Amino acid sequence: MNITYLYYLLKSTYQNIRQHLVINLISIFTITFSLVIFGLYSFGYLNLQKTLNDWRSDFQVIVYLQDSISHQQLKSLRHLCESHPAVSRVVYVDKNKAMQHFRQSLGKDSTLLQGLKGNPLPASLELQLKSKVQGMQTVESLVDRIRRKPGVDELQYGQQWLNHFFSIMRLLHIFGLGITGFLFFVTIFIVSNTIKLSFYSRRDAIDIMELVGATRFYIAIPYLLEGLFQGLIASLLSVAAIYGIYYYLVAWLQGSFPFLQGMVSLTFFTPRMLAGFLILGVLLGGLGFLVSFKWIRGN
Amino acid sequence: MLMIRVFHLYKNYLPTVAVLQDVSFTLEAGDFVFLTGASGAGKTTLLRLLFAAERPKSGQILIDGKNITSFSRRRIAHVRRSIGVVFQDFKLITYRTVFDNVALVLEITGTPRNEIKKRVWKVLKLVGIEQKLYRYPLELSGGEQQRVAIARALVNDPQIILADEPTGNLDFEITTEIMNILNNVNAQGTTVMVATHNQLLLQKFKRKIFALHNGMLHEDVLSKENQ
Repeated sequence: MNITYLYYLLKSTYQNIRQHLVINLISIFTITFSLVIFGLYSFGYLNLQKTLNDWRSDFQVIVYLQDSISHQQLKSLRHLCESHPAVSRVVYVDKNKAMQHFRQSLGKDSTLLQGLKGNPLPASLELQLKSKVQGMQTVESLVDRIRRKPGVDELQYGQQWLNHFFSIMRLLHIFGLGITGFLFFVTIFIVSNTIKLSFYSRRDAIDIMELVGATRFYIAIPYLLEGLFQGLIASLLSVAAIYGIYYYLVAWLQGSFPFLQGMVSLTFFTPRMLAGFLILGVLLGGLGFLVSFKWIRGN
Repeated sequence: MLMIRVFHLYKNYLPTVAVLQDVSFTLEAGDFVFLTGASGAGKTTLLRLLFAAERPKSGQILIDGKNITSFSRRRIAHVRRSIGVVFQDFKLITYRTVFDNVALVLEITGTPRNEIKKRVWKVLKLVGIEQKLYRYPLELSGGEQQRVAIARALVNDPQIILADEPTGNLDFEITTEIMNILNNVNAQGTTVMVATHNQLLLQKFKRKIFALHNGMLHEDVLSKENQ
């Protein structure tokens, strides 16, 4: 295909769009609507995940050690914990430090400990988990391996809290996939129908083009370009709409719930996500064309 | 130069109603022929078969020695580029200007823009409508629209012009002008076939006549007198 030919295809696309502005606007509106819904869902999901991860960063697995644990056993246990892919940090708290922490946590009531003979508190290893840990199974396999090690007395971790966390994330995944699939199906259906409508309204012109020797390729390409153009404009509009919503949401949260500052902070899409969003919009427009193309060929 | 040969052509839309029956004829390069017959005689069907808008039930249509009845859609598109077609209802794209309507034929072959400008201007001048270059079809009279349609048929220098009742909606003065344009094109060697049921036209422009009657083609008596 030479440049001249491409120029004529683009010119034909421009003429089609200008001539059928209303139909194009309907298509753009439909894709924008779907992308805004999808974008808001993604935005919510992204921020919820971030908030939960922030909260989870405080989550620890505490391994209480027997007083009789040997230096070699402790070394081996530490090595196991530190080399595990789910663990980000390991802190050893010896008996004295444990008592010190306990005293600090009691504050004024620490005088209660004055009559205590010896130190009954065990030494421990505090394990911090990486935020990318995705399931309960990873945590449980780690706990099982530690439990089998000699010198380990007891393990403490927020099993119930973790279970809830992973369940919520799983539900969000399923709900997100479901709603996204449905929305995209509806969008492609509507876009393909608006392309059919636009094709139908130009049927006379297409007949004429065929009569003067235009190939199917020459006739169809402007429709594909039209679909891609609709997708591109719609994705730009939806990014602007989502940014607008984000901007006002942040202002509203800061104004109405100042106490949430520090606990909840909203994040907008990264540049890579935005690029993906634009590509998604263009793909939706293109897919709408492809779905209607079989129908166009038959007509 | 292209020659049209038609052999034993049959066409029917309903199983029992034959539109064309055993139609055979030859058009030599540079011929001018009228195709006549009553309404519904099959004139339009025959023309549509000649530019492959329809396929026959049986028979062969050879253009430049190639049987177009078995051509794929892609090859048909290429055949049509060597045939200029003019319709009674003009068939102009209403949202394209006069220039763009005529240029379309060259655009689909990827002709460079400067070349298109020159050729469109030249052909519009030939049919006498060069002043209306940037008008839209609906801003023109019927006669002017038909001139644009003829310009579109001519712009690619086709070797065959097929015209289906090209003057059907026009008064006699404009009809004469349109026929003069087609005569001039023919004088330069282009084969022309004009379907018409206008007897005045047949008498005024004395050319070979093919008459369709009950789906069968006959060379008309008047045709022999004309020759």
